[in-house]
Amino acid sequence: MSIQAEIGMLDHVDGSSQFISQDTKIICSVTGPIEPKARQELPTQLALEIIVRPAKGVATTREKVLEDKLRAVLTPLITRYCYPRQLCQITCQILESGEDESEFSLRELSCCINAAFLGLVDAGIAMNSMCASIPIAIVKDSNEIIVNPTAEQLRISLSVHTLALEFVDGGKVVKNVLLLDSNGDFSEDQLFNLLELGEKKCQELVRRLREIIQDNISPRLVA
Amino acid sequence: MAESTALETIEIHPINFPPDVLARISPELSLQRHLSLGIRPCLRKYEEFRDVIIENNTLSRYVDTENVDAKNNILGSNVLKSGKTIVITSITGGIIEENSASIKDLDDFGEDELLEVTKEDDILAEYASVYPVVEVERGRVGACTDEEMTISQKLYDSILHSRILPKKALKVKAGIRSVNEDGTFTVLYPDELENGALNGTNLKMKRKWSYVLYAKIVVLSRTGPVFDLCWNSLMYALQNVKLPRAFIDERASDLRMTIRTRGRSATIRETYEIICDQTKSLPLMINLQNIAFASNYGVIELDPESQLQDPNNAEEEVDIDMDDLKSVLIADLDTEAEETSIHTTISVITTPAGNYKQLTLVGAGAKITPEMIKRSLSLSKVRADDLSTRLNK
Amino acid sequence: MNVQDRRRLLGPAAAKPMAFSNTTIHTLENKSTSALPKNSECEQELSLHTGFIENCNGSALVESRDAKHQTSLITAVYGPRSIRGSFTSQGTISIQLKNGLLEKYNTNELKEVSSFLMGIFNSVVNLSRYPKSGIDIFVYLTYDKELQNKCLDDESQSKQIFSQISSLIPHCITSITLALVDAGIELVDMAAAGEVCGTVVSFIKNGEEIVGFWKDNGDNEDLSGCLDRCKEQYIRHRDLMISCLMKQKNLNI
Repeated sequence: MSIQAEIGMLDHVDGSSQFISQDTKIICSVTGPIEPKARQELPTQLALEIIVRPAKGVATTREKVLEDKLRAVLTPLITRYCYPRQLCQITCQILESGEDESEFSLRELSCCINAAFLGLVDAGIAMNSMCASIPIAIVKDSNEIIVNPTAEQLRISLSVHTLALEFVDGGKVVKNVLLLDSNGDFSEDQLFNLLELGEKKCQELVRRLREIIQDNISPRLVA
Repeated sequence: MAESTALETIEIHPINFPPDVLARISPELSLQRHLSLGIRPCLRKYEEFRDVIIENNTLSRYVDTENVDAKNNILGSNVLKSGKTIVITSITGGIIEENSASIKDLDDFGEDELLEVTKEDDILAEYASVYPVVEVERGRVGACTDEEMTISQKLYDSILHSRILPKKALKVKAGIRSVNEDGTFTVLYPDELENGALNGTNLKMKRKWSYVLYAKIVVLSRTGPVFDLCWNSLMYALQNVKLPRAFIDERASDLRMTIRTRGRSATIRETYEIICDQTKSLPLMINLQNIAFASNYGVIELDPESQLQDPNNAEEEVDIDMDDLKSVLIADLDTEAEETSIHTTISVITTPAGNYKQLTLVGAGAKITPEMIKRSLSLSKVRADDLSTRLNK
Repeated sequence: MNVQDRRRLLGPAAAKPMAFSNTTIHTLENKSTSALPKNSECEQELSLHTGFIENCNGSALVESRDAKHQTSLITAVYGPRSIRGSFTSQGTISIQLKNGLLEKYNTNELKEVSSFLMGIFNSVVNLSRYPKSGIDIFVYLTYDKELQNKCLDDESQSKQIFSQISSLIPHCITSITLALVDAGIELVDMAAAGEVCGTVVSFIKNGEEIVGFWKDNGDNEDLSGCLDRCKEQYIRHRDLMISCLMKQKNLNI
């Protein structure tokens, strides 16, 4: 799975990242920890404000669901007890969706998860573990499991899945399934097969993400 | 004074709370205490579901087949009660004119040929969804909450991806109303005619319409997560939807006018209303084999420290191994304690036959093991099978 | 996609709501009117329930059925709960009426009725007992169906609806009173009302005191006769409420 990612291109926020995979392109900014509004404040933990903006038009219920899923993934990743009564804003702007927005959102979701993760690292927010997310599709006729499907492959898919895994120990050990969001028509066997394949691919991706982070911070360490 | 200070010792009194107060102060502890006894705060067992009571189609205009309720525009309905929560779903409809520019609607394109092309092209494009608006009553006025928005969108997505509602089923087979010599109206439907007397040329219309379905889902007395209740209620409601027959006036069946503005000429078509028949209706043809039911689960680790000790062998101190936490699967989450303390959730939509339509795992708490997934999938199948049998009652 | 409200999935903007024809109804009309025997209005069946909604302080369900129509409304009371802002020496009541499944009444009508109801309950609830608090009442008109199928022209149809909302008001008052009692909120007395041809009179204290008066444009010249008939209904509704509450209480013991 070839991806491109960049860290820290935005100057006015605490952390930022850009994540490109095929035709999907996301830019993410992270601001925090900052002072929250009274209604957002949590007495013992860091509050998260997560915003997803679509490639075209204004945000609708579709983006609300993306925000909801993104929150489910990011909440356990962040060491939220380190920042009581504080707020962290995470904004993902979709530059290119790379899929038919009226039917799918899996490519956008998995790229948002990866971009937000890199953004949080760039912002220096304390994290419990690492994560990586991939979109998966099972196509018609051949029943082949395709990791990181293209928009064309999605169109002939029977089921689509977004997988996000949590990694510890330098990205070697899978700690938990952060999110598996499957839609379509699939069997139990297909599900476990794709979890197995997805685990391998996520591991590759998390290694790649570590390299990107390493490349970004090593010059600073030398200085 | 000196005496008193010497006698002063700190006594720690344990504070006792009645169970309902403890549940308010520390839902997590209250939940763990219950779980250690093998039950949940709602007094169900770990894998016990709430019973579901349903009432189908009682609110629709077609309740009484003899006597159609003219002022009612509900095409199908369901009232679902699960535990204390009540979900009321009503389905209404609209009609939209299809874009005639689309190749798919060209008349000279054979239906089968068309099917082939769309199949190659895009599987989901053959299916439609319902536009749901979910309202969860919680004593507040104002804009809809994030929960209402997310549930609505998830329902929309899941119906589309489950391929329950083919676009073909929503096509309007429009009839034509004509005025008889004695001034009465008759409506002719192309598919109702036995002989081909009024076929083809006469009734062929250039314009095409589709039904659009809306679902209003009201949740009263919310006590826990409600997505699966809304989904199940919508499934029941969709199965009893009847679409009214629709017709247009004979005179308007294909009117065209040429107009000329600023030297340019253009053809406009007369805009006219498509009207629904007061009494005649057809059942909505959904893909019955794709009808699926939802259930949800949570996974929680049992905290050995908050176990209630058996008073009979309280002496026996068991060494607690903190690394070996036992997790349990909890079915059909309900109550505030479970909703706030259980962060790992599994939500499944499946047909009774075991074709899974939707699965969401969120692992923000206890670890999800393959065994847990397998167990929840098999429970879902049993639950879907049970729920599907209630349709025919 | 509708751009006006992006928080709801309202479907394509070009879609039109279904319009049902009026012309094919003739046969139907005769059938339905003959099928239903004309009962007098006192043969109204009422069914009352309280306390079935979990996430509020008090709730009530009122279902009524007579020859003309069938109604079901749910009331939920939230409160007394703290209010934002400055100190108030007594509680404030808010009443929201919501259209149920059939979007029958427009918001103006509903607002008018809810402000009328607010007037009644401001004098019935012992508000001085609840300083700094708000009591929010939600009345949900679940179901309101006419049992007679009549095809009316537009003018008489609007008139019909207008008189209908007034026939709902006594049930609203019954259900709000019950829900307030269920929530344990202190009342001066059990309020109830009766309706005659678009005129609604609400009483307390055994019919000695009027707490609300509503008049629609129905012809009702004989005011005192109207009062008496409303009082009869008031006493019937009140007695039903009391027996419902006593039953509930006995169940709980």
